[in-house]
Amino acid sequence: MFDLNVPWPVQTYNSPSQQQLTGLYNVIATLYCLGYNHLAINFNVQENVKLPYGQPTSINPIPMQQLRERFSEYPNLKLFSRITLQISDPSQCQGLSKLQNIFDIISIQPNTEKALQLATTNLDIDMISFSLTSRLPFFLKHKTIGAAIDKGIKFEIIYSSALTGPAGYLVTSANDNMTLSTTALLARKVFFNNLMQLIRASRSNGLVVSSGAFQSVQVRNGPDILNLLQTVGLDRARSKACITDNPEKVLISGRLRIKSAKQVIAVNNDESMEGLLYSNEGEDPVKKTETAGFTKKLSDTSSGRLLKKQRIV
Amino acid sequence: MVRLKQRYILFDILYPPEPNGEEFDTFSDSPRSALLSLYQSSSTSINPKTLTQVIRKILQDHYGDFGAGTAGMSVSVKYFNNKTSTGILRCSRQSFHLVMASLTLLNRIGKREVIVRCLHVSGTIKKCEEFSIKRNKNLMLVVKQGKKDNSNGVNQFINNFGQNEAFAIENDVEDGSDE
Repeated sequence: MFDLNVPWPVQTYNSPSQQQLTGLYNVIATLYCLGYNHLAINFNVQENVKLPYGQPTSINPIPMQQLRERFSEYPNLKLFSRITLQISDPSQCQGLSKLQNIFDIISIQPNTEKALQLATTNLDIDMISFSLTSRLPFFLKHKTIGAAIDKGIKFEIIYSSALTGPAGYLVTSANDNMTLSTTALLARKVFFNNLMQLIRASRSNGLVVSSGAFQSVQVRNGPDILNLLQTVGLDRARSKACITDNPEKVLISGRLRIKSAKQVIAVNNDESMEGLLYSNEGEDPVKKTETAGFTKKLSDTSSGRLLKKQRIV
Repeated sequence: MVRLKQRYILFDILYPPEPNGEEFDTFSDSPRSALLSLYQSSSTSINPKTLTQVIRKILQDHYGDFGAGTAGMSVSVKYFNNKTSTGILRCSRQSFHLVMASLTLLNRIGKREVIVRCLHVSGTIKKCEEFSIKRNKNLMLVVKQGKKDNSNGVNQFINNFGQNEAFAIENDVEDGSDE
């Protein structure tokens, strides 16, 4: 199973505190125990945060190498990096092409209808996510959403903010009575409404369910969440793809941007398809962030080397 | 005359680490320590009666009088084991999706924050038992395979499930006599 939204605890370039970092480790371990093994660490950027385009090595604040070492004991666990840009003014997002080789997945959180329009038509991105616990400022039309899904862009449903944290049950009195506060009731109400809109506009196609959990209590079992979405109206036959096929497609399209020429051809004969797409441990972070892009030379592969030898002979 | 049909849901309660709790720092050290800390035994304040009350309250909060009447009235927790934090509940067949959704919407029981997970849905309680036994055997294998770094915790864990297995063996004997 896939979970493409494990949030990086800070939204700026400040380094997180030790407790926040331990919280992130615990979320990853909990997700792993529930059967999720492909996780993407999400760096969510507000619109007013300036990205350091000058130094490509410092754009990604997530120490992926360090995280992979920390979780080296976990068999089959794969970690990826992801960036989510919040956009309300379409003219603000210029440097998207410079991010392409640094993060495995690029997604956008549009705050206005114009931004959504731009994201679905012009930008080269993998996923669009909405903040589902506050009322969407625009109406989701099937035409726009359908066009985006035809292009291969998926839409993300983040559940943790609606089920737990401030939106969850609280114990107020001494006799252990659980109550929902008024803000929690509102958040849940809006969440279900937005969910219904998104499911209607997308006709249950091209949806990705991810946790967005800051604490390990906010994680839920995948089939349980799908069951909850089915009570809101998600198509039963297409529901399973939300945690398996669709996130995998997002990951592949993001990885192909790094590993292929024009997302069409990838040079690799040594490994299987899965190795090409998923084994990101051996990647050279410096080479990856070169402004020229990560281009694979023929001599990097065994058959390429053979070609070269033949030419010399 | 058509028989009254129902569904049995096998669920378990997981205890993730709380900030400032004992296991917060060591939780993610290895898959084994995470598993051991998630599968804790429940306090005695959690019993079938309180669980039924909690589920009915959530159904009332989210699905109103209609949900509480159709789904909530038929819910009853048939079995709950505090040592393994596993339970089986019965509900009517039309509304079991609502009951499962209410378990997902639950985020705490009393003071402790929990994850409740549905493991299996079946038409008979016996299949739920069999599934639970099979699952626990596999889990024990996973835990035993790990290194012996905190053997104390593992022994406790295995003892918890060992009792469950005794329960399994009893059942097997009963099966034999039936046939």
